[in-house]
Amino acid sequence: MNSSVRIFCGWLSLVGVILLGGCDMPDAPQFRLNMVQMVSDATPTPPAYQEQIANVLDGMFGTPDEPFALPETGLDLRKLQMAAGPAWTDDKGANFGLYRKHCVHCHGVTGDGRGPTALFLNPYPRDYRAGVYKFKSTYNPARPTDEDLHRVLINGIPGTAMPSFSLSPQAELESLAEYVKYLSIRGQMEIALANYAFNDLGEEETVDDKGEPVLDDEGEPVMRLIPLDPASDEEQRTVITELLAEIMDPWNTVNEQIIVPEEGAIPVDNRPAEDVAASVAKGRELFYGIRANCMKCHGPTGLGDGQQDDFDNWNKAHKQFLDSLASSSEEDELTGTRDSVAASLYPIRNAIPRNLRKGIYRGGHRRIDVFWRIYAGIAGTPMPGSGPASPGAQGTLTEEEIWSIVDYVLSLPYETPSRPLEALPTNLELVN
Amino acid sequence: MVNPLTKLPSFLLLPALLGLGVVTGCQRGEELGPVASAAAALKIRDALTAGGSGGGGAAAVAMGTGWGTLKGRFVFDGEDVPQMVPYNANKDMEACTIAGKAPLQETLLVDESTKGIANLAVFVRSVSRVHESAEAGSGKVDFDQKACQFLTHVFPLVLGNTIVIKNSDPVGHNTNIDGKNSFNQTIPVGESIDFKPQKEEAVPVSVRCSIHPWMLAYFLPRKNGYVAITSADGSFEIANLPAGEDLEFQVWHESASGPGHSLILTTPEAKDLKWSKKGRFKVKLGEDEVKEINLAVPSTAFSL
Amino acid sequence: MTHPFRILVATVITITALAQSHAVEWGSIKGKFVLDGAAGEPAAINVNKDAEFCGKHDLKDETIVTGEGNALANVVVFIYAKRGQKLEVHPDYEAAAKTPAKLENKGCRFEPHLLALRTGQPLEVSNSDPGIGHNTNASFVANPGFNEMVTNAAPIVKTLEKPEPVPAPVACNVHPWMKAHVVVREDPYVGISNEKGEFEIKNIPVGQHEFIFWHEGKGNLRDVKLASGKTDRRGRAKLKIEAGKELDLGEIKVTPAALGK
Repeated sequence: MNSSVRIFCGWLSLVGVILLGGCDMPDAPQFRLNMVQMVSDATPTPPAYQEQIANVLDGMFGTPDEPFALPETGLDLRKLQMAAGPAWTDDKGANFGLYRKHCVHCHGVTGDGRGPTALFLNPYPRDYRAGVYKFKSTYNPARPTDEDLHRVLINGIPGTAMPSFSLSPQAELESLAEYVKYLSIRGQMEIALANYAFNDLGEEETVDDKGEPVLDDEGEPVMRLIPLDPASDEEQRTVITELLAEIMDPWNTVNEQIIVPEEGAIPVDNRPAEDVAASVAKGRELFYGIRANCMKCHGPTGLGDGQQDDFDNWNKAHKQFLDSLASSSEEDELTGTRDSVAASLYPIRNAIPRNLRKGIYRGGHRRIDVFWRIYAGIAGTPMPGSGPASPGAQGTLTEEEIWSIVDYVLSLPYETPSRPLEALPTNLELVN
Repeated sequence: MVNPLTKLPSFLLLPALLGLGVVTGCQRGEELGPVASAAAALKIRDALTAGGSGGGGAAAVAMGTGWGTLKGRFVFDGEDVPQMVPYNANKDMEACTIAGKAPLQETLLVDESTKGIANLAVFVRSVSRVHESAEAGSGKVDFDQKACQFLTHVFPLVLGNTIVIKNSDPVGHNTNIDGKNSFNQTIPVGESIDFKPQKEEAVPVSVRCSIHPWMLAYFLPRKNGYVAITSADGSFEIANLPAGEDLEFQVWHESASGPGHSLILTTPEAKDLKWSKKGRFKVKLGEDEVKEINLAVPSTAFSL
Repeated sequence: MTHPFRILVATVITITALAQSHAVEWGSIKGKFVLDGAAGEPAAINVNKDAEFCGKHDLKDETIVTGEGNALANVVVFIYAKRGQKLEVHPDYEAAAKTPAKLENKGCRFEPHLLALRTGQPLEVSNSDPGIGHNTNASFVANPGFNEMVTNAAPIVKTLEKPEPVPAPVACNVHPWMKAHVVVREDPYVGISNEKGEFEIKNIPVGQHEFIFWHEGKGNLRDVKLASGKTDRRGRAKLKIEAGKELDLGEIKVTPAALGK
């Protein structure tokens, strides 16, 4: 054995030591907590509660390898099992571990939108944990339908890194949509638990055997955290069941929240050109008027260069956290964690109104897709709704007016921003 | 531009690359916050899947001999006794009205003279021993409907007994019992159907008729006979309760504002009984003791 | 047979009397918030939208509003009610519970900056800025949020079904400087300090209550000294309301640091 080989082997074993000992790589991926929520001013959550919340979530939802769902969630455990765990294919060619195969690198194990590639994408991948989805057929505050989630999986989201999975079999798509819902429900439960621990549990005075308060040297009562432990506390079990029911109700009743356009207001197929032109003109007027007010954000040219100072809910939550951190001078047990959480966040991005002249429609290019965007607004973003906000409510615009804006918006990519010179021969140089 | 790696002696190249990979790997591994403890999670899951509030608490422990009785009265404490309005009958009017009027609703029945509150359910949550008089039955109990009204508004049942669901109306009804003993069948005119529920409920569940949607009653199946429904003067009595152990009672009323329609009392008398915000109170009876509790219920305990 | 029944009736009457006197007793609380230090002049808003209209209103940042003598306005004081717990409500509040609570878009700001309302009480958002389009984007913890256009023509009306644990932010995305908070509670026991820093909550059922002290700057006001004791680490203090009396918290000093300054 020559010396260089020997040195090489020595290096190799050293590297091996670093690999095994220096790096604490977990064997299986773990769900992680929503740390911004845990250290936010709204629900500052001491480490003891963080652990207990992680335990309750594991009890209710299992792990990335072994998902679980309480019957109250109505989630289909078989679909979840098909999407969860490491990616593999059985001898009959059925695929498992679909989420980790297709989604995890962007959306992350926990569905927090923080997979390894997320930092390099614009827009950032969706964080599912609030249960808020942008491209859906329902009223603004409502959850998406299963069909909405499927549509996004099949079409992808044009103009973003979200690809189409239209080549995947239907069963795989159903399994993935179920898993995404599962991550949302889990994330919503986590937020609910943090609120419950902060608002309703928290510290209490300790008492001794005789029921007398225990005092410290200065005569102040000694405090202790009421543990979040539904295994031993029946009342907490009831509360958790109620919290879950509150989260599930909007998911279960989403079919009552679908926006179905009125038959009479839907523009007919094969309209005469002058009807379309009239509708576009009406849509244009609304676009610049103050009732629809589109121009304020999408800009006088429709290039999306109007109001650009605002944020979507996901970025806003991070921004508010960073702002509060900057203005805070107090130290407490969460100070260190706050700094680490702040350092882990991606750069905050503004919500840039869509450039309507590109002809790229993230939520779909069908007229109904654009109609839904204008009618309900886009949940989680500054885009407000112009139709009724809930079934039976009064809207700002009529459906007919919304369809006219749809016509105008869909005409924008084919209209030049500046007024063109009329009928000037083009490419004269080439001819000459 | 010279690749910095080519400057290294070749035997260092692979380890250097590996080392690079290790370093970046470590950085990505840095995750914040705790992860779950599998053992603690499993306990929580077992507790959450154990089947709700029914048998959730610690099992009662036998601590005495003999039997005692709990009785008492619930009295409405408010100026205006709630007035009931007729059911909103809008179908089969001939059968569903008496002299042109639908029967009065029973959402909160307070007796004008005694101010007693009827139809409160008082029942023990768990006991270690059951007196033979309160043991599971094997008989038959009638549950009838007339003038499109269930004749027993709050209907307790000791499991083992069979309900004979009758229809004394000249129109067809269907009886739809909610909850764990889900039941929904048509009861033809003048006929009856036997139904033997198998499962205990932690609180009364609704009974409706889908044909006449205003019809409403409540059904409370329990494993033992330690259940009482207050009568028109608000009184109740539960006899032969096991003495010498901590008994926890649940109090329920369909219009009570507590969680799951539990009745929440904060009066000093209720405090003495350790009344909880889930409408439960605690009593320990001595042998042959007859304990009497009388409770004033403020109107705010109800949501109407 | 009649004898025991008479005793029973007698007991019931006594209990009834007791319970009634318990039910009708009410007390009040008041206090005055003062900023203990300087928060600096409120920054002028960079009006970069609808400048021709919004620019003439001399808009200032309203996160910290002080009055004469450093009086601190817009501190919210409300009673913490546990999940499922209901406070008894004095009949005087009944009429107000049905009157819509009004939030106006006026002069490119929300009026009022802080609004308290009860669950079930209509929230009416209107737009009084002629020719200016506003949208109202409310984010809640317990209730579904909303984000809608508000035109000059008609107000939007919302009803919130659940109480909010903290005052909920309301924004206008067209004019991102516009901010307000709505305090949604099941009961009417919410006090908001005025320009003199004063707040008062009347007709609270007697007994010990946990009060939450909140300010837009940094949320719940922790470790604030009160006449007796101080707020805890969650910005809450247990205070006893006595029958027919008004608990005066006196002058409550709040440091700029507690408001994030």
